[in-house]
Amino acid sequence: MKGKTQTRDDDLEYVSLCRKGDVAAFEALVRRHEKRMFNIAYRVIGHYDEACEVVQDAFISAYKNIKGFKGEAKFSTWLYAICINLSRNRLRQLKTRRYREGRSLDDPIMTPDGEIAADPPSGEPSALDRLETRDVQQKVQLCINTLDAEFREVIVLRDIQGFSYEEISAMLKVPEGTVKSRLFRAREAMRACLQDFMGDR
Amino acid sequence: MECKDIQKRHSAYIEKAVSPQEKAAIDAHLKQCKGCRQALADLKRTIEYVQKLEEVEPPRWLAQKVIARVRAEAEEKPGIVKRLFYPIHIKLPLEAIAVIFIAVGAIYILKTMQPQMQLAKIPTETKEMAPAPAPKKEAPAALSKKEPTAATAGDQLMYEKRMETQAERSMGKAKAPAAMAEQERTAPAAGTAYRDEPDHRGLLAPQAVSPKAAAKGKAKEVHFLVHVADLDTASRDIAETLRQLGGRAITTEPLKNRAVIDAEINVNKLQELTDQLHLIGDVQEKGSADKAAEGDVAVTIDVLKMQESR
Repeated sequence: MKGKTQTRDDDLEYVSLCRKGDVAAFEALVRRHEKRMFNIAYRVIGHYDEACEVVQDAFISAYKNIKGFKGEAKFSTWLYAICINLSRNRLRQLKTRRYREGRSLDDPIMTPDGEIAADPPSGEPSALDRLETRDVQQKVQLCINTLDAEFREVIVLRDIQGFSYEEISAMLKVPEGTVKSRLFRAREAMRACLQDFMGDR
Repeated sequence: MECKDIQKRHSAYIEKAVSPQEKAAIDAHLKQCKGCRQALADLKRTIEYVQKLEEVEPPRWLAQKVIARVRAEAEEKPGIVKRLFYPIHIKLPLEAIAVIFIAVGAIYILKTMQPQMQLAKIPTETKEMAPAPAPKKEAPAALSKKEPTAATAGDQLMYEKRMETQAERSMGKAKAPAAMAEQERTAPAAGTAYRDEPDHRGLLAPQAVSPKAAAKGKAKEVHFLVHVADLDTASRDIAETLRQLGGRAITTEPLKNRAVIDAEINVNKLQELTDQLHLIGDVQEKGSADKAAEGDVAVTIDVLKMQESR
């Protein structure tokens, strides 16, 4: 990705300031990574408010444990790994809660209005394109929500966030081969899911 | 290859993560299989949809809230540092106070223990007071200097005297009459010395504390000399008599031609004891106890074998 090496350098500078107790430096890191953190959490969890909570907790955890960042990977990789972990934990909690409350996993996930841009440029018309753009956005998220956490994570990190296999492997602490096989299975599941939606219409 | 297998490899095919041979096989299959072409197209589209997912804007308050929480956390940090170091400010005085308390406590305990330790010695010493009247005269003089040290000095003297008397005693038969005579002579003196003592202490050392008073109480002592024909039988009889009279701490010290029996008995039983002793042998009483006194008196009975010549 463009400018990544530069970001890395900037991060490290702030990180070292942070370790010296400079809160302002951490604030800069928060502003820099907030959006991506939120998007990772939101796509993995599929719930806006829960994602907000998770992102806050992830930043606080990162701040408390910033001395535990050894610089083996990029700071952002370390930070997003925390976010992914907390998202996974939250997802587990939500699932057990839903199970206890007797709600179906198929219940539609609340997607707040206005948060999803209404009009992305559409590709050439095809069978799947019969879904309206906004619907597509929702359906895609719903399909992600049908996946197990390990498949959600790879599809969010690879296809939505565009991280390299190497980075994903570092974040999830699994070999690249595992990332790939999970990703391929996740995509296949997504395709099947979207086709089902399409078939419903 | 089956369509299923081909479709399983589609994702890898899109990612170009297949070997050249596999790619060739998939390409060949796709050319002749419409279903697989469609599936591949759908998969590509799916990936596109996923990739096209819009970025979601986090709420504006999110960063602010994170920063606020981080600041709160950062403010707690000096709190933690303070918590670690603050006690040191308290600790030092606390430690100082603790040291002072321990020191004062130790001194107090020593001071209260010391008289008790002296007291513990006194009974054995006072027992010897009567046969050793000489130091009595010196002790009050020494007492007048400085009470605590003088007392120990006096004790020391008594102790030495005691050793002397012990030696005297062990001299045995040959010197026995002489010793006896001497004892007889010193007896009244001992009595006076003994009676004088509390007054001396009272006058010279009004600050003399309870241990001294206790020592005074213990000093109530009666000394009998009993001349008997059969030493062993008489000793046993006397010990038995003491027991019957409720005597405590009865010790018999058998020596050659002689036995020393120590005991503590109630002062009321003293007359009875005297009567009993008269039945056993020829009794001489020395250092009579204060008749008005209450409680126990220490009784020392010197049982002497009657000399043939007598």
